[in-house]
Amino acid sequence: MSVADILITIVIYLIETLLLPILPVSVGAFTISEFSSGLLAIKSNLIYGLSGIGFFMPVSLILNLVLLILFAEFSLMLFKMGVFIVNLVRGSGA
Amino acid sequence: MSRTLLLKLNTRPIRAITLALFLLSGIIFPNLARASFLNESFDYYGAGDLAGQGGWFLYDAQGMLYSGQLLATNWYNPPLALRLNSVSGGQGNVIEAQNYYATGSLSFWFYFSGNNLGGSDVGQFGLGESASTSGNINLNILCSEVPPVCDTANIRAYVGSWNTFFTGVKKETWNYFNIDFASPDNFRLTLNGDTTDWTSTPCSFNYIHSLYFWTAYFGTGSFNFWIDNIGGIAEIPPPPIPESCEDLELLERLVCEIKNTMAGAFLPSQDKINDLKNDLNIIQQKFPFNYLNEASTFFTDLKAGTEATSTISFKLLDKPGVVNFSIWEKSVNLAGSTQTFADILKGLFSGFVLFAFIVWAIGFGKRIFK
Repeated sequence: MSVADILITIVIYLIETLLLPILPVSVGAFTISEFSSGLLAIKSNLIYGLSGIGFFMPVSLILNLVLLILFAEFSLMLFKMGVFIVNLVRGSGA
Repeated sequence: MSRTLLLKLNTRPIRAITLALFLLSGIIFPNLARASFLNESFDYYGAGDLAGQGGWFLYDAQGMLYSGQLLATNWYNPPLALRLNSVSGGQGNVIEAQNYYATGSLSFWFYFSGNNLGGSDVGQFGLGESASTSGNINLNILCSEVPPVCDTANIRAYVGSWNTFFTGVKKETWNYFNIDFASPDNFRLTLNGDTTDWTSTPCSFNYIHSLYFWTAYFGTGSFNFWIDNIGGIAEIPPPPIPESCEDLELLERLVCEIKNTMAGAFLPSQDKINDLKNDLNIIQQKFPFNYLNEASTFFTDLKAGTEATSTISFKLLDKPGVVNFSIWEKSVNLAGSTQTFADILKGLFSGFVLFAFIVWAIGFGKRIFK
């Protein structure tokens, strides 16, 4: 067994004992199929609604930027959430 | 962690670096287990011919394979079966990748409901070198109860003979299925997180030749069967075979032996890589990663759908009509170059959008360092 095999075995063990038993497939009343169906409906409506203006508006650019902004804002929110939780535990130092 | 150390870490550069790493991990991690030859997202089930597509693909049916009453027959053609390209017997060649060896995995979600009578197949799919049972793996999802009830199903695989691998697969719920190949003659199955042992098969796999889904039915009644998110992951190249050092000179042979020893000591084995890849695949199907993947697919499909130009139809006094965009295709000579009105407007709006994005980015940067 190589060094890499040992490291991978440890990672696999951690994943199978800590992550996989805990993570659910769906969340309560908001199942993955409902989420998919909702997204499909939104997508169909958006494609239908944007189909006409796509001729002279950069819809692809707008969607890419909106996605980037959403991702950045969500990441910043998660980061601040983590800092808040850490401050709750250790105190904010104020 | 000491309070002093935490205070030292809570500086602006450290926070910016941490945030950047977090953003990068959000891009890297979801794609870690999805090394693939080819990714295609198909919005509409049964739309178009995928002839000539090589390698693995990601297909999102987003819809129902079949709903209603079937006659006692099988080998349904599209749209009652997911069939790509035309091959005799109603099956299709999906993957014709050359120099591709069957080490990898294939996964999809399936869902069935209704009253399937006669203990018949709920759905069936197969993959292998040819349509015949001797050269491929056929799997089918078969009702496990006496008709007319079909609340659960069994999953069987034909590997020389029919073997049952999973029982009690519930209806009216999405089930995740995955098949791994470790070598041309071994495979294992995963259903909703439960994985079988490696099973040998007399079928000889050199490459995945055919992939087909169909509904086969031998009775009466009606049922629904969905298939979704068919995905495949290409093999990770195996570790290099130890180089033969026999024909080398003394010094070169010494270097060669050291290289082989280092490779053997540090490179991972293919089995471990496959195990890790399988666990990562299973995590991809768990919350929140499956939700994030769905959202990512949503944006990808949305972008693809909005790129295609289409018409706007309307009805006025019961007379149908279509909005005419031909005026936007008129061209004009502007600053020495010929451009259409549509391009000019697109450029103008792009400028506004980018300016707004820059304003937001400056504000976002200030908030990071606040």
